[in-house]
Amino acid sequence: MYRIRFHGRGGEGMKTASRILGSSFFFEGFQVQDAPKYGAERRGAPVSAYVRADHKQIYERGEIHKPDLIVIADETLLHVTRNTVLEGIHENTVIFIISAMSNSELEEIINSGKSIIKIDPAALPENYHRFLSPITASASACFTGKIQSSNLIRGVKDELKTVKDDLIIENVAIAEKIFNEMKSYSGIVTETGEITVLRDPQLITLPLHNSSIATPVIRTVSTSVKNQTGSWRTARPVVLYEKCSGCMMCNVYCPDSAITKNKDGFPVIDYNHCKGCLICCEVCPSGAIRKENEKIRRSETV
Amino acid sequence: MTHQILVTGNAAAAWGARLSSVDYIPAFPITPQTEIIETLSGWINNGEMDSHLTMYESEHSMITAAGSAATAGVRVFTATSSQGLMYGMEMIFAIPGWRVPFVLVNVSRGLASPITLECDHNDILAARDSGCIQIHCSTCQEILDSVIIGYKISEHIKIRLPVIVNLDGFYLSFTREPVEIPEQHKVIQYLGEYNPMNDIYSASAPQARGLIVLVGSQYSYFRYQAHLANLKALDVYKEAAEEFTLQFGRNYSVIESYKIDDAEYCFIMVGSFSTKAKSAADLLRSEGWRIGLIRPRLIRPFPSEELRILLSGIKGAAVIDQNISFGKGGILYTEITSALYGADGNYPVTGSFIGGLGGRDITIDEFIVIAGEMREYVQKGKQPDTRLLFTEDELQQIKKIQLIAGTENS
Repeated sequence: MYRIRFHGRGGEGMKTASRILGSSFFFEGFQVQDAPKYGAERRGAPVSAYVRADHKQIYERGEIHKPDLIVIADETLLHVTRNTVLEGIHENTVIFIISAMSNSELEEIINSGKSIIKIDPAALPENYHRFLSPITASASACFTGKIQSSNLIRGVKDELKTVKDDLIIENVAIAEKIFNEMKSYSGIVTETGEITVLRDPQLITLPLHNSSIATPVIRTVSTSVKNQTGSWRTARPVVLYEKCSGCMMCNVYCPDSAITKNKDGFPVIDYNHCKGCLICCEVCPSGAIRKENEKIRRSETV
Repeated sequence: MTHQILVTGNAAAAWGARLSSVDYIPAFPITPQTEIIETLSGWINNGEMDSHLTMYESEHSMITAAGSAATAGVRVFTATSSQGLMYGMEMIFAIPGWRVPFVLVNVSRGLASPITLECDHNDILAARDSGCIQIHCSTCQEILDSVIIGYKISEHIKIRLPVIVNLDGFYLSFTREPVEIPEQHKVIQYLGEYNPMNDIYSASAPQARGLIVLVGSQYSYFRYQAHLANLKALDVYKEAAEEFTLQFGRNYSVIESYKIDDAEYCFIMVGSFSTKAKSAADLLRSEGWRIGLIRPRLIRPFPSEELRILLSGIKGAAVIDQNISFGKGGILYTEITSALYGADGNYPVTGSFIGGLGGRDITIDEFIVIAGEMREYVQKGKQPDTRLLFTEDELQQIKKIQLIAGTENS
């Protein structure tokens, strides 16, 4: 059975990628199971998706604990949720990542698995963020060596059948391009049979605790401050102070209280917590908050 | 011609309603059920489905509308989940007494508190004593087929009770699997055109429904009639499933059994995680175990006799409950053991394991541990205590969040 896990952020298209790959396997005659995994849907929050493909009926369900391929669409996840992203990596696991990091940097962070295949964003079209689904799905399809490009394209078209024709053409083109560019890795991802390497889960007998402990309650203040949700942003609001009148409408509407007033009476955005919802851009009467691409801004800062 | 496509469990439920040519769909969205009504409203909107969908202001009204529309003579479909089912619970208990048919799909999700979006079966099992028939599914194909079979049972003259088809949130609702979509005319041929029988709204022949009965003996009569009808649904189900097999080729016995013929041990569970038990059984068999799976599809009516036949001669049975009745334990365990107690025959030592609450995974390792523990108890010849599937690692994680929440030392 092929066990493939996609990691990205809400809005980057990992669910769509898993469905494209799932459909491609299915058109190739495989039994397939694909599913996204997320909590309450949040753009920018870490999400994952799974594809299982086998020649017989699939009895496994839910999370993939021993993946043959881990796809990482967003390299920042290696810093934020490294253990989740790399869970169950074994000697036959291939990692596919879109990253500007050097090979040695990646090897140091990942530090296990069979091989790391990297695409540098510089080698991709400037607007590649919009095409992470076909990029990651077609690379994955190619790595298995079992999916013909015709069935991959059918998978892309099937998944995108509700969008406009020109967008489908763009997606198909990039899927074909990546599929051809990855040809040298065809067959690098191999199937693992039944999972037989087992470990004792160390089950315990849960004792009764006092209700003061055993109640879902938070007794400390400002715990949400510790959760640096700024990493969820795919777009960044930037205040243009030359246009800003200091009316502070942005502060009133910010759902995360991430906009405060500085000593001169103008808004300051707390980028450690701003999730990039861009409501401030919409409500600003002076058009003084601009939307910028988060990834480009972040790479400039680095 | 029939064909297979990849669809989610939610889409499979919607396909079941579409192929059954339902006339009316009262709706209210809730995670993880929403995709069902989105799919149906999409089809109605673009003309692929001829039906009427009305959004209500709550599940209480939605379920009332489902029962009311059924009294007026149309085929009705509706769907909910978790807190939604709980909010509509007054009507879930009231409508079976009206003796009208419809199918309700419940997408299982754990109940508050704490709030969760993930799956367990306390929502559907809270409706256990309502009078509604309950079919529990383990694959996307089974969801589609069970909706169709559900109408066949629900509309039978001796039954006329709502059927709840249950599927697991996330693990089925958002998971795509290959599903064969039957041809519509064959489904209609199987179900027949909708026959409202006496449930017709007509101004010239007025009826009073939802009556008050203040005489205990009369109340007892109507209540026991609903009970007898629910019991009778076991036979009606069998006929309906047999006819379904003839028409569509797929076989849905009252209880699914997997590699049970020569088995000494078995897992007993319902829902999507039961397929995991199959892969665990396969793995254990490769190591010499004789082990299989028993999965009741019907929980109401409860197939006691069929269960006794399957369990006869088995040494150890591990019941894995994805639910918990506070102060008692696993609900399925109680149902299973009550069917065995006092019956003539050679029945297994039964163990109660609680797992998969709030979507918590049940890993293959844990199935192996469960099998091992059952063997020990069989050798000792005693019933084990109820066991929660919970690890030292998980307790350590809890301690970490308790530290952040400031509850650890209080």
